[in-house]
Amino acid sequence: MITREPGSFRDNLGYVFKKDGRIFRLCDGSILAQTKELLESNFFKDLVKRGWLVETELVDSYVGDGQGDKFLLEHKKIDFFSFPYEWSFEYLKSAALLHLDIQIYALDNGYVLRDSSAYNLTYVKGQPIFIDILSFKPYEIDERWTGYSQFCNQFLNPLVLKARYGVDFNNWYRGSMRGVDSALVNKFAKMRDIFNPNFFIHIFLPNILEKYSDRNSVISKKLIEKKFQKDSYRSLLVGLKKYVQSLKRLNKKTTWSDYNLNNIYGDKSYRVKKEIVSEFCARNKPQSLIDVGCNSGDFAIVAISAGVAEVIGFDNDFGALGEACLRANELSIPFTPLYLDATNQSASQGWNQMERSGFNQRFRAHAVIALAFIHHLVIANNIPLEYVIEWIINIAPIGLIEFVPIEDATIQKMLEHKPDIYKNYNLLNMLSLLEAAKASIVKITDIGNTGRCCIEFKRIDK
Amino acid sequence: MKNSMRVNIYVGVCIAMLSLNANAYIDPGITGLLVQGLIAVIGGILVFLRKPLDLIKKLFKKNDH
Repeated sequence: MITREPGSFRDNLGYVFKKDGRIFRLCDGSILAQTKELLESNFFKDLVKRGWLVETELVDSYVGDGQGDKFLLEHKKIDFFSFPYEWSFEYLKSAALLHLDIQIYALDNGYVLRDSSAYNLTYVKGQPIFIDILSFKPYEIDERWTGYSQFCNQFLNPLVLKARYGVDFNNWYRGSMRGVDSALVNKFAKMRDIFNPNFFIHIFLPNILEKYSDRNSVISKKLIEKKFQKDSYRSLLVGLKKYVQSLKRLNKKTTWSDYNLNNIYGDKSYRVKKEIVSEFCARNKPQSLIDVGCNSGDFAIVAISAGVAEVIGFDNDFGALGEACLRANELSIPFTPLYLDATNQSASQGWNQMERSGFNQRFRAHAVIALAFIHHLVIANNIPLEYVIEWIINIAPIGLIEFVPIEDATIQKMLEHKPDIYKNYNLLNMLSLLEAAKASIVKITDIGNTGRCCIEFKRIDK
Repeated sequence: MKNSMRVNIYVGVCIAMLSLNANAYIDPGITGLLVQGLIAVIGGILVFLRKPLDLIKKLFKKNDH
């Protein structure tokens, strides 16, 4: 019995399912010949070689599932699947550029992409990758780019929102399966924006047309019927690529954007903390590690240096996240920093609340580190300590949790204007809560003379 | 006049030529097609005008010498 992935239903030509930890795509027999041609083409092989496209092979040319001829593809498994609303500005921009590069390269080789869903891309070890093979189809003379509006909604509009107005797009994006409409971006627009030709054509104009144009008017019909030559198609893609390349993140400085320079620790204590992470990773050799509250990625870099094959970092500070993305890219390390508001994690949403699965369904690793993190949830956001511990322990069977005592300057600052109602927030209680959550304490290491300590735990699985 | 300004004015005229109807429903896919239609029209006009414009530019360049 095949059970399709809950998010794989919009394409009537095929769907994805998992079996024995492998990823398959069951496709309609009507596109077998063109898919075979695509898979055997140098163009396709080159895309895979460049790391732009997920590795795919034809496993079975004929599969009868009782609903007509089908064939089976197998994709290389992706362990951590992130969605566009979890990406930083830098990640969405890189994904947009990859999408356009693939489009341009495809057009030059006689193919186009049927759609421009940002969900057709994800990040593997810090690099964007395209995953939807069925999006490719042969180019037909004078055809339009059918994914143009979708590209604007899912890539361009959210990027412009941040680049021109400093508005973080992630929560807007998460609020709608369509992405960010041009109508929303236009609400922020100033008169001078309209004189930017790219803004005018791709953001202002679609909004005006959607509001006021009559599809039955003679001119609308003529425009819709107007031949769209391949050169125009390519120029549109190249023009958009230049526009996306020109977009830069506004408001670079945030509370935690220079954490690696201005953290509360002294150099020595910070070094001790790095040594604890390094020793933990070297001893346990986890294949994958999740760093909740990763800031600009200092400890992810330490973990990778100690031999961890892949690190996924999470933070809710866009400045720190942006820095983490740039560092990971500069260092070419298998580190994927993602956006997460831990008090409001990505939920299961979309059609029937299953189309896009939530954080808990997608992010499980061999190890987890939560350094200088839990007090932000417990003290600043009133999440009970036992909830936080249980959540962290469910992410991975082993891990490090930093405990920051209530006397710490950071916590005292948090308590400046609110009463101290956190009587159970202490080390002893934390250790007993860990044990109650079925985690044994492997060791506790002091972080210099800061009063802070790192607790290494091991989940006791049945 | 800057090129960008010229293009904006031209596209503005094109929109004005569309019969405005605030009640009409238009799905986002059609909007995309209309924008691409306008791009094709502008592209066509620019290509059409390129030769005479180049000729005029050459004339002015000669005058400079």
